[in-house]
Amino acid sequence: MDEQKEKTQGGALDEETLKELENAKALHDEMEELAAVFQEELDRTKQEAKEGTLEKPQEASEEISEEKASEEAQDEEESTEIPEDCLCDCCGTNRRGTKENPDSLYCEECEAGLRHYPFDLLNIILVLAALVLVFYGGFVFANHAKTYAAVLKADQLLSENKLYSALDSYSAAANTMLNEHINGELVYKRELLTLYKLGGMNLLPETQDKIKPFEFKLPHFRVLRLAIDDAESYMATAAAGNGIVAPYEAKKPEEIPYDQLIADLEALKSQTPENLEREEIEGGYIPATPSYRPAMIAFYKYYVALLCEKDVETQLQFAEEIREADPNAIWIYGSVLGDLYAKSGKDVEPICKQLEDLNAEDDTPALLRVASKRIAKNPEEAIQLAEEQVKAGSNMSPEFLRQQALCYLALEDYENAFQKANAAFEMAFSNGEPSVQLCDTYALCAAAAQKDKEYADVEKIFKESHMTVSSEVQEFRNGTRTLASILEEGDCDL
Amino acid sequence: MKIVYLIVKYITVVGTFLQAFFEHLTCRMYGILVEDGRYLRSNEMCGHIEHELLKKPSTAFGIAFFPFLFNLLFGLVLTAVGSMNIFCLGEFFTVSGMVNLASFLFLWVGISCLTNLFPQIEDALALKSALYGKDSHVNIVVKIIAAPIFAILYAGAYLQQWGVTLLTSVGFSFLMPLIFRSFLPQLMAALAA
Repeated sequence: MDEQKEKTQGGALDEETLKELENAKALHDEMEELAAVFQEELDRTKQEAKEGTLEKPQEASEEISEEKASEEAQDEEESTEIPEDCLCDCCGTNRRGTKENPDSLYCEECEAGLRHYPFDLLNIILVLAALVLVFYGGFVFANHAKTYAAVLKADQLLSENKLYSALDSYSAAANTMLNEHINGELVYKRELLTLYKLGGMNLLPETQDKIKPFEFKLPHFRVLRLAIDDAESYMATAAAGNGIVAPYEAKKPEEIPYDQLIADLEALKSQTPENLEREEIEGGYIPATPSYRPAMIAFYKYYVALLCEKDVETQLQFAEEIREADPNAIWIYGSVLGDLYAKSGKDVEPICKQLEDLNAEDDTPALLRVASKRIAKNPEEAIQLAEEQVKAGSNMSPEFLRQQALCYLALEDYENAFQKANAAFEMAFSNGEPSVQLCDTYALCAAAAQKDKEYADVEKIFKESHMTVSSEVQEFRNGTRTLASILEEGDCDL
Repeated sequence: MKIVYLIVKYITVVGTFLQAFFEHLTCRMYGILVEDGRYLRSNEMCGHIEHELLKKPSTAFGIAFFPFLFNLLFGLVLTAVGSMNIFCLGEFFTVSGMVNLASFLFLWVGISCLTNLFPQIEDALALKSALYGKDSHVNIVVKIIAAPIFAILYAGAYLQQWGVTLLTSVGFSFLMPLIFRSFLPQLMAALAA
């Protein structure tokens, strides 16, 4: 059954295929005939064209003048003649090639046009707009040049670690920006960070109207945010420490409860600041909740030890504790530790180097070196080092002169000692108020050089401030203490 | 490569457009035959004008150098003011609290111009052939004087092909305040004096 069915189907298919083949053959034959006819016609037209017997179009001869018709006919003739690969790439009608360049892909007219390719009006407008932008940019640059110069100068000073000058320059630049209505947030940031490096912790009010609160969350203000948070914590600790120590500052060492104060300060480590008085400005940045900083607590411990006139070793222990708690807080421990190292005869160079790396303009390292040399019984070298600083116009010149006076006392050159102390006293007086230590040194030198009038003048100054000349100086004047015991024992200073 | 090139070209569309315009202007100046005058095509000719093959050394140099020079001048002015305002001063907002669009615009257009300084590879090769090829009749003095400029154009053309010039121009804009730091304060002080 199945075989019969397949045979029947196969037979049907064969018939259909044969029919299709026949149709295709007929079509092919027809096409061949047409091709032959076209070829004949083409050959005839070419022959006529060659012989010049081609008939002109009837319509053209009627509508246009004879001359024009003749030209058109000639063009037509030519285009008919030009092979496709010799036509102009641009217009597609004329023969390619020019007199100057026969190999050109374009005809004479097109080539001339392409050599002066036209500008689009919109493009010209856009370029003019860009030109206006460039001129406006130049104008803005010229207008801001003063501010740029001030800021760049501050940046240069900062890169050279000249922090005092950098801070002054940033402040000057900030004023210029204010006058020129420029809101340079990164300048404020650098100014605040410089202040932070120097230990100026009251940063928050400075930022309130200059930097937007949301910007503190962005990466480029992260460092400033951390500094402000840190400064808040230090300020909170300082406030707490001050609250504990301040009532005893004017008391005599024996009246101060040393152990109690140290215990109170130590207890701060486990507490968190409460009822902080914050200067909150609407819309301003609110710093993270502060915590008490162990470095600042250790500083207050050192301060208590100083008030209680504890020995250098005890003071040094607390100063070391500050460094251990926060090695970056050189602004707290740098000069304290250096001074204690000098007094205890330790090498001051590492701490001097640290201080110089932080701020190249800080004269504290030089002063520490002078004190160190003096205490190490090398007064000549100390005098020379101090003289260099005074000649260089150091901001701490009165202190360098005071050190020189102490060196001359050690050398028993009392007249020179008095001269230096007098110079230091006058310099400090002209700059403001001389320190208690300087007044005491002046009194000591006056006593050593037997300048009674000058000694009386210092006593008078102390009296006006409801104070007295230090007991060490009085004892020396009374003859109950020697200069050597003052300059070589205890803290080796007044 | 083409995708990176095109992305960079479209990111820095202002510089791309200006480069093509200056190339077009140079073509007009020298009477160079322009084959395709579209500026922003989505192929390797983006930001360039398709023109005839250049054989004369002067035209080959001009077509590579003048767009470079004009874009460089535009780019330097705009990048200077943009990078100083943004990276040095941090003038992100105006005093009234509005976003300082002008500074960002200066920076973007400046970087765009500096990204699109260099000629296309074909033009750089044509310049090489015209100046230093075997059949070149260029004076040796001219060859020596043109050598540094040619080296910059030739190397830049290869960098631009890979879109690396965007990175170099962004890096340059970051360095701009440092460059100004080396002379602007002294210059202003001298002018004030």
